Amino acid sequence: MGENMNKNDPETNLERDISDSLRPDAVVARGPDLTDEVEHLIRKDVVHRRVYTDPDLFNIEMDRIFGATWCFIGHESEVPEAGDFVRKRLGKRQIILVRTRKGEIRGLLNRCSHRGTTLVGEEEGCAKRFTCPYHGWAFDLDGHLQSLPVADSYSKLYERPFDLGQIKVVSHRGFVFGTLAADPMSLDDWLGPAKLWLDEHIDRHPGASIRVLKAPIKQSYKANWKMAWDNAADGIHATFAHRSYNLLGKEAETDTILSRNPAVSPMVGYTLGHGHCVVDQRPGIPDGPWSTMRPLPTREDLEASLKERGGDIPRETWDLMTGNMVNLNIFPNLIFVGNQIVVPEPISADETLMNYYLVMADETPEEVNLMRMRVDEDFMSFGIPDDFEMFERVQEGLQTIEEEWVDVSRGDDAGDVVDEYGLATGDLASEAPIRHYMQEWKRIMAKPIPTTIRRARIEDSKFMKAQKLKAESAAAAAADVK
Amino acid sequence: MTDQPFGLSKTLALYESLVADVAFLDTAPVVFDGALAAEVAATLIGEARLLDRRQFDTWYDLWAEDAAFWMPLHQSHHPARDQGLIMDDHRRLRERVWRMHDTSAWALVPYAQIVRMIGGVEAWPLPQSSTDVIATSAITITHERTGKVTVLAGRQIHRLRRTDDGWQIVRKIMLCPAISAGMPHLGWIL
Ligand code: FES
Ligand SMILES: [Fe+2]
Repeated sequence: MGENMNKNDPETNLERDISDSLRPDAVVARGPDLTDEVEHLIRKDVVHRRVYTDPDLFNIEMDRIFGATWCFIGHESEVPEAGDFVRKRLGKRQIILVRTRKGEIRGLLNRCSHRGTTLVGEEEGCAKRFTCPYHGWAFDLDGHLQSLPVADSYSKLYERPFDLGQIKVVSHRGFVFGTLAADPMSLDDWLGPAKLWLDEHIDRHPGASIRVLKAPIKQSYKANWKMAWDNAADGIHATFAHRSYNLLGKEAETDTILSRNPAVSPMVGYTLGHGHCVVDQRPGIPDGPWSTMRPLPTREDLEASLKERGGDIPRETWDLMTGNMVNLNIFPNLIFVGNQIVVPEPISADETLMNYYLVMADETPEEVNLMRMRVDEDFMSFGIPDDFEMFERVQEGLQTIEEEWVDVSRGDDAGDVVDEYGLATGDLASEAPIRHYMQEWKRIMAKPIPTTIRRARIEDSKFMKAQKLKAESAAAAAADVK
Repeated sequence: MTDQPFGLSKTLALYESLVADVAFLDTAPVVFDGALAAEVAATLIGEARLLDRRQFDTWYDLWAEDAAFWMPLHQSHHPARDQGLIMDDHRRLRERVWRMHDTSAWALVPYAQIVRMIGGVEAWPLPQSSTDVIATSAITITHERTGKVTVLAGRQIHRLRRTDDGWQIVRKIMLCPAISAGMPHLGWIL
């Protein structure tokens, strides 16, 4: 799968500055120009509280960041066979991520092209076609309109294309990203150096083969989605916010990675462009991730079982059971923590639903995957609640309108090393990752971004054919005049 | 199954039997032993009261060594194939109790007010055991902390063991539909 997944992508043969949204090939840039406003809100070392609290800004985020920017949609392993689908979100839009008969991945809008009914209500399934329950229109897995009962009640049926709307989707090694941008930068350019870290994450699994479990743990918190983003690369909070988790580790006589003194811990964070960043904790744990694991349910049994299989169990196998201690954050909605893929889903300016997907290693003894589930439940129980508590308390604190600014200056001119491309390396106390993604937020939010809905057979519609004829005769007339 | 290492077989057997306890609800006879159900109901109601009143150490003492506490994300899930919210053994239960008292567990302090309501208790003896019974009940939990209220309803499935000192809890499974839809964290649940 590559950049050319949408073979029928209409944008390549059409003019770009089309603003009449009634046209089937409309390219529309919505909302106000915010250049001056974001200049005011995002400074070098401080961020305005409204970035987290303002519902109007939130609505624009749903268009420009969760719509017109590459977002993570899902993983190909969630839809292994033709007809398999999972219901996903791109901002507020429901997306049916489906595998077609040809084995391609599509991101169909879960919105009937007749009057708007969602086509599927289930979170996942396998379908031969998608039939709308309201008036029975049926669409094939590619989004083509397949049947329309009582078609003769339309006088000009094919004037407007009724094929299902789609987003542009591109995969990188199984990770599917999608966007509605009319003219997005290539996914490769968007990922930039983050792609190497993503590759490393995938390659850590034997045979580079991973499988994402379809059912995520879904938990919500009453605060802005960017709280999760601020936290994802915040190395120093672990010592304080997760004090309870660390004490629990001490009780079990395990020195959890989080409990080490932040002043002397050699972890490093790197900003990676386009808001992405990574925190590499490995320098702080010479004995490997498994050495930091507390006793867990079934641990002794599964350890004994692995040893009973005989031979030397390589350290990589043990380490597969826990995370790789590299936290990769791909803006705006893909966070790698431990063996989980965390997908923040913004609900409103002050509510977020976090989706925790568990990744399984396919080519590895069963014990490893069984252990992964129990490892995963550990931090969900004893760590995440304390993170959420912090997010909600920050959101409450930000209700003080007179305290307008949130400080994110830590590390700036005090330990951060900035390279020739402007990317920063900092120790775990640095807030460079926050400053970095905020600059990307500012770039994306500043101006309306042209978006378009992809649709099969747009060029076949009578409307488009008439447009083409008109354009051709105009060109011919112009030639005659000469 | 026979060529599986022991530790793996043991783990998988536990998971299979947890799933079997859920499936049992579909085939269990409607007519059950009323006297047994009444006896079990007293234990389940007592358990709820101990938890509501934060008597976690007393509650922990009710548990058998071979404890299992499972809270799946969905009623159809399997602990060997799906991540769950909770899949605890005796030791992790001990950790949960420890955290309930930990004043740096920021998500749990100030302490919540919680009321659990237990209803519709049914119980059946387990054919393969002379001491253990299986019971199911409906539960509604109202949780208040820092001005926010969470209400959670579910079905519990318990395995209880008759001992000289009264009933022990061997297993507890909680099926709560709201979890699959997504809800605030349940870091406080027991
Ligand atoms: S809304 Fe779908 S067929 Fe009418
Ligand atoms: Fe955290």
